[in-house]
Amino acid sequence: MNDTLDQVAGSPLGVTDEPARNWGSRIGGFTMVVLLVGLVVASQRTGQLDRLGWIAVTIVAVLVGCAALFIGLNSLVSQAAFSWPRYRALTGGIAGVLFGALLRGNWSVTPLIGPTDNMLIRPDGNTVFDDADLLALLASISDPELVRLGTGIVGHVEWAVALGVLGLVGGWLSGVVSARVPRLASCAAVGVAAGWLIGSHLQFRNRPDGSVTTILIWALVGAALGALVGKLTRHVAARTLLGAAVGALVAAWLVPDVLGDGSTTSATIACAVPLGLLGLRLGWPGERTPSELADFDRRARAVVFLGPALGFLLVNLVIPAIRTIYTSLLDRESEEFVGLDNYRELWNDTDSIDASNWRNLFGSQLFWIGLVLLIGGLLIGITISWIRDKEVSFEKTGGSVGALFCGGFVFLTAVFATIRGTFINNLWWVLTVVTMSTILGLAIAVLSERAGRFESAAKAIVFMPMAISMVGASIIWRFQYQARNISKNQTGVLNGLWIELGELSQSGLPRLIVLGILALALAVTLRRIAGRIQSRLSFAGFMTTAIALGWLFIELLRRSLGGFETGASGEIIADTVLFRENAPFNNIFLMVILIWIQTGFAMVILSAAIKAVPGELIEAARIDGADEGQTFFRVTLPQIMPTVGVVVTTLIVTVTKVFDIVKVSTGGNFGTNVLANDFFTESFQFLNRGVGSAIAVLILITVAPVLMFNVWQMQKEA
Amino acid sequence: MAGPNFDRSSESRIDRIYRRLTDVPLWALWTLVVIWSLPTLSLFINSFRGRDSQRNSGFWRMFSDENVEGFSPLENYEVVLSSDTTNGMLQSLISSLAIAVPSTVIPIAIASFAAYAFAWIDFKGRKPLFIATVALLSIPLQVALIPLLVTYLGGAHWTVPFTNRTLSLIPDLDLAGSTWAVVLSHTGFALPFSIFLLHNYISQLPKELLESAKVDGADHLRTYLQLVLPLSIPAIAAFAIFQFLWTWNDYLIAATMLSGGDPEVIPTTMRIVNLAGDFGRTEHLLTAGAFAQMFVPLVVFFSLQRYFVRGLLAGSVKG
Repeated sequence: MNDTLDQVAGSPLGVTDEPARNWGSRIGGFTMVVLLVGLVVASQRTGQLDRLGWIAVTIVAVLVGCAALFIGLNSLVSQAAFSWPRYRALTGGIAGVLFGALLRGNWSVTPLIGPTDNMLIRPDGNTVFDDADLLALLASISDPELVRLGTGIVGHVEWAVALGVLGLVGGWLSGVVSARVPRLASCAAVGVAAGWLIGSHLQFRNRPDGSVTTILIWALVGAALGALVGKLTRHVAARTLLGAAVGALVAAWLVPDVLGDGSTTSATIACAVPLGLLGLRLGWPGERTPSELADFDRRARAVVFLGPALGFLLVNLVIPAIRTIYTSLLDRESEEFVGLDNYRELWNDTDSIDASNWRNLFGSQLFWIGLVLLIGGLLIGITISWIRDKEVSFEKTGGSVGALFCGGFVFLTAVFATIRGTFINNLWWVLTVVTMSTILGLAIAVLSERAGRFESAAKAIVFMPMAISMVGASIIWRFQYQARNISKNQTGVLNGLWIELGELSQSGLPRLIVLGILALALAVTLRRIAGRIQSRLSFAGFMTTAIALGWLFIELLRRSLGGFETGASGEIIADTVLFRENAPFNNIFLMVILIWIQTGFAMVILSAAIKAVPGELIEAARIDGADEGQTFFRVTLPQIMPTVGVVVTTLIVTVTKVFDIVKVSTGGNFGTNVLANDFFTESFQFLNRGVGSAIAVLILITVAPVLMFNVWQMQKEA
Repeated sequence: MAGPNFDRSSESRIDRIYRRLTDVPLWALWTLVVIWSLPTLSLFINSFRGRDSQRNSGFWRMFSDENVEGFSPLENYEVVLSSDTTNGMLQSLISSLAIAVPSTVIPIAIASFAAYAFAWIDFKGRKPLFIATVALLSIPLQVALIPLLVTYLGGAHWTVPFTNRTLSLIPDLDLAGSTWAVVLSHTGFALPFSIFLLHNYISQLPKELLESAKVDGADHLRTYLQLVLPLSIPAIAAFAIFQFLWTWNDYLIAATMLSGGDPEVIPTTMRIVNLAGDFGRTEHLLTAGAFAQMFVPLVVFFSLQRYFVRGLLAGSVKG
């Protein structure tokens, strides 16, 4: 895949790379400058200049902020090599500041020196009042959850400073004192001091009512567990101390049923013991050997370089995804656990899968045409191989593969058009868009090889829709699909063709002519693609396929799309086609939009792959007497098969997630709903978070394996 | 019918006719090209026609348009590019820019460091961590959208398991409905892909180059800033163009984060959908509006094809 990318990058769409000759990029660059100047002028005239300024300031701020973050953290790590105590002191100080901000930010502690905020309102509704004035104030406010009184930023800063200083001192001591016992003692003392400070200032409602015995027992259990883990990793002492600290923390804070009501003493113990043990743990390791320092440096650099990105990923992607999976098991308000009910609801909903009309399948022409093509293709294939080799094999059966393929496609289309629902629509989208985009992309890639110097122009035009937003594309096609009353001028291109040129549905003769031309063109094209006619039978196969397809096309136009009315005496009157409203084939017209967009993508990738097929292979095939069709099907196509696989998997993912087109074109009405649109409707219009999440999980389950395969494929080749 | 035979010296008339017919594919190509360009072209032509012309006849009748006195072909664009809040799109064009530019810059700034670390810092667990990061590519947008919106609406609060304690990890910053909500979402969704793309490029830089930098006493930060960053400009450009167009063209994230919020900050895609929902009255402005929205991507496409195609193809693995 990377090779493909490089070829594509080397000569995308066949455009020369030499900058001097690339008029496209010169004009484009010029246009961009004009665009920017125009934007500045326009926004200045309309009073929007400050927003442009905001964008500029944002970019500068982001860049400066990132630089400060990364350079700052890197120099912090560099301190370790110069002076270990200084590094410890700095990290300790930063940790203290962050912890202080977190404590105070959660309103867990009272201000140190500022005025006491005696009232606190938490989102969970816990409130504590000590002050009569505040009580009176609260009584006058109807929605107490919105009220937060306190000392504001000062309260945050003083806690951050206090704990920061303690961390600074503790870290410095842990680095500078070389004898173990004094070091441990001083670190523990700093920890206890911090614990005392926090414990004595805990908000009333947060004070735990634990007993010293429980804390000790849990600390011992934790220490034992830590020692066990340490045995495996050869850091027995450090792990034991950490285990004890964690055990004490759990005992002090998580074991009591209710927080609040504890005395200041018990709160102080609950804070001081774990923090003292943590101090011991942090004071345990002594001076670092040079090799330890080098090892530390590598790990720390990795953390500094990766930290921001991974943190962002965790907060913005991993945790939300896990939460979605969890909320898909909850009810619509995310309050009660309902198990798999949301999925069951989706599955049983007739909007998802509605097979009640399955009997109509047997009345559907598409169904029978598909079946005939399938059986015919099978028979022709068997006959050809029997005549030629006296054995049944499908390897050299030429035309019948086409018949089988078309038959399968038509057959499935008939099934999807009869059995309706959101899930089926998604399957239908995948079938049609993936097949058509790949085939058309391949066809254009092959054909444009012969277009000489117009190759890049042709490719650029086909690729252009990729640059347009799906919203924009849907708007473009909205104007193609427009239908007006038959008595008026049409404004939509397709209905214009239908009404003003064709009126195919009215008389039989034009239909016959179109059918004839269509069948001939198809047969010639198929024959040309497949190469020399090997036997009359396979030509018969091509003709059958072509005529059946042509007939199908006409029938589809005549019957299924609407576009006609039956008059009073049974005569057929032409009418406009309601492309977006007439179910079920309106789905196909929405798919056309995505095919229009994605064909360019398939074309570019496949074109690069075709160009990468070694010339010697083609030469050898030619020398052996193969014509173009045979060379393509027997040499080129097998060579580019892996790339075709990449295109197909990529398209499957894109199509499964299709949203904008359906949303803009029909809003999911007229039987065109798909999963992604259903997700949006359920989550943000019906506000049913449970079902919305369940749909999201379904999309994940469908898309993830395909994408994983894709990524794995790319990694393997990279 | 006898099977035609390809020996040119004994070409029969049927064979000659057949050879003519085999030129059909090139015509097929041009037919396809015309079909592909027709929709855009028709919209383009219609965007210069007045309201009545658009409503009463197809674009192919443009030469028989009867326009009222004083009509200018640029009238639609004048309305669309004004700051008029009901029909104009200038505000939303700037909003799109305000979303797309930071959403492009921030991921590059963060991801290039991570890509460097994955490629050149030798630490324990590097491979599994990289694979896990790349695996995040397969998470579709929809899966993370609702919880993200909830976080932006009211911060993140963690209830400690088996207890009734709730801890506020992220305070309520009132981000929902603001540009920042969209930018942060885009950044999160872009990171796996940008790390993947940049890592593929950075890890292929010559090893000797980086080792000689190390010998010269450069630490990782210096190596990154002075050597790797300048060398990976092509990959960064490819990603930047891909990401800029992705965010400029995005509708789902914007519609999720900004619906019901301040109408001043909605991007062009949402603006166009709103105009489209406004049946009849302003439909004639939709043509010019859609073109104003598409103009930026088209300019980028035609001027930077090389990077554009590269970034777009690499972006095909994005969830």
